[in-house]
Amino acid sequence: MLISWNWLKRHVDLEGLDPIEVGDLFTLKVAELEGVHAIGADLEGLRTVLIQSVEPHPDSDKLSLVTVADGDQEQTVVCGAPNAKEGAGRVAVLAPIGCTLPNGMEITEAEIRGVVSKGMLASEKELGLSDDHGGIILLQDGTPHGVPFTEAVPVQDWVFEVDNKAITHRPDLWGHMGIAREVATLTGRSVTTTLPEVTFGNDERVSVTVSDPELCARYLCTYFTGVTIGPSPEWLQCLLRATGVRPISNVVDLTNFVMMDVGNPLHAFDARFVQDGQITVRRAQEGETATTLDGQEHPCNEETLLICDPKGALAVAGIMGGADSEIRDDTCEVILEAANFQARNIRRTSTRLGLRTESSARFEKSLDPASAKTAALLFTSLMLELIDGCEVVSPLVDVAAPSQRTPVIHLDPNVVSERLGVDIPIARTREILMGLGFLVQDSSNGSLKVHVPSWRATKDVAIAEDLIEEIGRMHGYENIPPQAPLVTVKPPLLSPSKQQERSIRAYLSDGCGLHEQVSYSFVWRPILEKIGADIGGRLELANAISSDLDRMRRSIIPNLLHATEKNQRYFQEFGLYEVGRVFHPIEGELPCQDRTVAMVVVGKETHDQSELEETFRSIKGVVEALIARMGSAQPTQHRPDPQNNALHSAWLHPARSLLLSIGDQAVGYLGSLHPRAKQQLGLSGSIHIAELNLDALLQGELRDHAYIPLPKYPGISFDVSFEVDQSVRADDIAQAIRDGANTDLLCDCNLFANYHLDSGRKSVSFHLLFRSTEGSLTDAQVNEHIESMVKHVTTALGAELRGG
Amino acid sequence: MTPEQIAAIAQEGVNTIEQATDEKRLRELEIQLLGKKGQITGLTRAISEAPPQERGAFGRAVNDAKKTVTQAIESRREALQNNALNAELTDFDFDVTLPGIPKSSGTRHPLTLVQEQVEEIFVSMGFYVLDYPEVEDDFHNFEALNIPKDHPARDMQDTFWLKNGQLLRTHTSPGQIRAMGEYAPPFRAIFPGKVFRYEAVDASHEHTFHQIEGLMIDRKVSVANLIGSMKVMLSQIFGREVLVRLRPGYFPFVEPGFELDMNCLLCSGNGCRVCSQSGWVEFLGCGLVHPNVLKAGGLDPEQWQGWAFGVGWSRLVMMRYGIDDIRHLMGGDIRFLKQFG
Repeated sequence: MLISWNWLKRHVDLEGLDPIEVGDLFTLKVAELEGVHAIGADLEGLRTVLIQSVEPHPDSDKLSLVTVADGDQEQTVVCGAPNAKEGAGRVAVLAPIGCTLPNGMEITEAEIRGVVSKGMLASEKELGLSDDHGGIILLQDGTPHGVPFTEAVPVQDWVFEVDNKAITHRPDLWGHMGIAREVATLTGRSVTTTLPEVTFGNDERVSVTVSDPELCARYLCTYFTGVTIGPSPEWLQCLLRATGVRPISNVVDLTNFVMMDVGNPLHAFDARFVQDGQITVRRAQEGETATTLDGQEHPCNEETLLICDPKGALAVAGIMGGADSEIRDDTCEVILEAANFQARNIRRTSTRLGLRTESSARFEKSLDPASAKTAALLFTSLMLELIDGCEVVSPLVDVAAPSQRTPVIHLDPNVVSERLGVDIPIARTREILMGLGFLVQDSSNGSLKVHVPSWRATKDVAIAEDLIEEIGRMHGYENIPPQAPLVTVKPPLLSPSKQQERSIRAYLSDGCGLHEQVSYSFVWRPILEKIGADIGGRLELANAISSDLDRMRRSIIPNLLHATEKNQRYFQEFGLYEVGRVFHPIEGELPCQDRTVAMVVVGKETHDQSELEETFRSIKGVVEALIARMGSAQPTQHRPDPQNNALHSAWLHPARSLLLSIGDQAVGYLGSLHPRAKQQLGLSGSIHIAELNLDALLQGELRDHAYIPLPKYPGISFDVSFEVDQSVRADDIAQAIRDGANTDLLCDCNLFANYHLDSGRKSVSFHLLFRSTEGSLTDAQVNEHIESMVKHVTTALGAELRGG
Repeated sequence: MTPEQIAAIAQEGVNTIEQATDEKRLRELEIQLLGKKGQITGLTRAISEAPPQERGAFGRAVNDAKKTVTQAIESRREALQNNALNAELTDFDFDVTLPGIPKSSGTRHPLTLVQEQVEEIFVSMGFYVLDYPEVEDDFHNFEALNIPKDHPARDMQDTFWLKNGQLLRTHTSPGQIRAMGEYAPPFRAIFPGKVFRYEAVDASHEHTFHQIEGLMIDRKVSVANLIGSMKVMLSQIFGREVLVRLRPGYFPFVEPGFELDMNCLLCSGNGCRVCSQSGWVEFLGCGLVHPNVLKAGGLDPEQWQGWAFGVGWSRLVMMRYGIDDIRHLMGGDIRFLKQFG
């Protein structure tokens, strides 16, 4: 919204104040200004001139030779504007030779088709006053001529551009009057306007019935005769133009002026088209339609409030007037409407009709019903003042629901200081509140009794905290010295879940060389479709941004695969991980939104069985170490059941993977990417994935982390390799070694090599360590166990000793 | 063989030894002369075969020759080793400009880097770090935050709705209600998280972005310590004193409510493109918790007050690292991710 400095001057004495400084204060204490702009600052040198005569150009049909008088100096100017032809006797604006226009154009003596032009007659656009380039400016008769333009017309102004979003909660700030109240308080001045006194007639030519007082708390109306439609005075046009409103005609301009002044929209009907002067405010009937000024026909429903005469709809209440009863050039009698409509209903109707207007924008902020009357009075007095012959013949009809009592708030001055954290003297509190129009009385217990003015009472100010805000902002937040909050005695530690996330990042980023990514909480649906995953079972959005992102993710893996797809253009080997929530619907409740970590690791492509097992070992090792880092006990590992069609079956390799669980609860999985998914996504390399439910792990057992004393005596190491069938598992061999050795002296049994032989068998090597807590061992003590071990492993597993 | 001939063999050996230019050649010569089948070793074996009257002189000559050659080898070896060391110490062709190879090149997301910093600052001031759901209900996201149905503020936050009537939180503020329900006052907490707004994505807009919410509930809290805490946070994150200013701002769930602006770091407040020539950058919304919100959280506004703030975490990250396109944050592009610690 644009606010004019000259306009504010009608309400408050701004003499000696700098608009830019006041604008800064306004941003700091009231609402954000998007800018403060000067208007007409660069119009020095322009003159008002009287057009003496207009002659056709000897050599052109379009051009005219205009003779103008600037005082007693006459000169001739060549002009191409069509409206110049009827300009004789009018006052125009001359840019004389040597003058520079706001757009940088310098006026020089020019010969146009053989005639020398001594200057130029200016249009509004050329002076930066509006976008109107339809013709030259023709000022109203009676405007002084032979003087500087800026002296003859109050065109120089400053404009505040208020951020509308910053005043959605302040219905009182949608007009100059309310802004003036704030500016007065900011600058220590006072508001000078008083309500005009108007004498109304007693001819009851207009009547009003409000059938739904809930939707229309107040409806005022009056009847004017003797109206002549014409242009508004220059001062009014200047104010409207400065605030971005195009002047149209006196009556229409006045409705706009009053709306921009008081903040309450008005509507003027051509009385000829309101049958019998009978106005009814009612809800529309189902199927009824209303045609608005813009020529649109709107279907209505019983939510739509209409202004009607006995024939039908005249206007959609509070949003837009109808085409039939609008003010025309020959309008001579006018019915004024000044009303208050329910904010919620206006908002709903304007949303439903897709019709947002200056009027609806104001009504939906919850306007003060009292301001409707202020607006009616101001409009009436201006009509009588500015239009010769205009009379108000009817009384001011005022149909109002019983007015709401404005709140009275008890305010403890100590609480004000306490909440703001700075001492505010009671006198200052009183001064600020009174300046803003609150009535402040002392109460017996030392607190203040604050009466909220009607214009702040509709929704904005209701409780003591609201008053504290008024005092705080006007006192100035920059005048509140910062204070550290009192430190609690016991600073809390980071919560277990945050510690868990930190360990994950420390290990995966710092330890494993993976890159952390963050992706949408939606699943990237094209990935699911490409790999043939079931898209069901996910929470669906009612208003998705795109069909690619219309469901919540149940796993992070598809989004990681999406990133893998993109990154393979630039990198061959890499790892990515993400910590975030996944979403499992629960009927009738918020979904389960467990925190999850998922990773994808891309390595060199291989088809060698030994290398494949080696890379599987590394993702398995990463996951195990990660779980240990988080402080959790290792979950049980088991192979997936190929019959069970789990969420991950589209992306997890059924044979080269492990599922992890604690008791009955699945907590994650790890393994190779499913070869079909890999192929369908066009990925290359050996790709491994893993995903863990962090909340489930956090609820599980903690890892046993006791210190193991260092050995007192040296041990004896022994490396052994067996050749076995490919179906024999490393786990079984280790178990057979332990069983066969059958002694507590065997304290370590670690696999260190595993490779597949051309024969179709494989070689598996273990490093064994024997040690006693009682003394040094001899070879003889150990050999006995080794022999029984080898014997057991070879017979139990069909193994062949390869070395040892 | 006369002692002179033996001495000559030794001398010839010494000559070749002194011409050896590397240790490998020297070792070859050593084997040739002193090895099992070496020339001088052969002479040593011949001592016992020499006629008795000559054996003494022959033996001495052979031993002298062996000594001479051994010494020559050792001194040559030492010389060669010294040369090699000197050569290594003066090897200025060694290319120290080759790029470093890091041991682990993994990285944390820039959101994480800033989050951890913010968490540390607030934990040291006695705040819990909490984490709340992304899928929310109308009550927590709107009603309880003093935003009833048909409130214009609902327009300011275009909402993603789920088909089941739930929604994706439009801000981290629902955490205020949840925290008040979970913790007995007084307490302080921050809750970082993902938030969602239904809007088209471009370089400066994302439908998914991040916020950090802060809440302090106590018997007496003031605007003064809200400003104090915000200054500490911003100064620590940016590693220097940061000027802030507070001006009125409207958020239904706080009263009074503020917008906190930070002095633009790019132009030091002189005005530039980033701050639209104003010298200030809008940074966070904050205020004293509205009594209706305290009530919705189950607290008695006569007994307890609070302040709250919500800071654009994504924005903070972008300012901190000078990132000019918000889409990078959710893009998963390693070329971007690997630039961070």
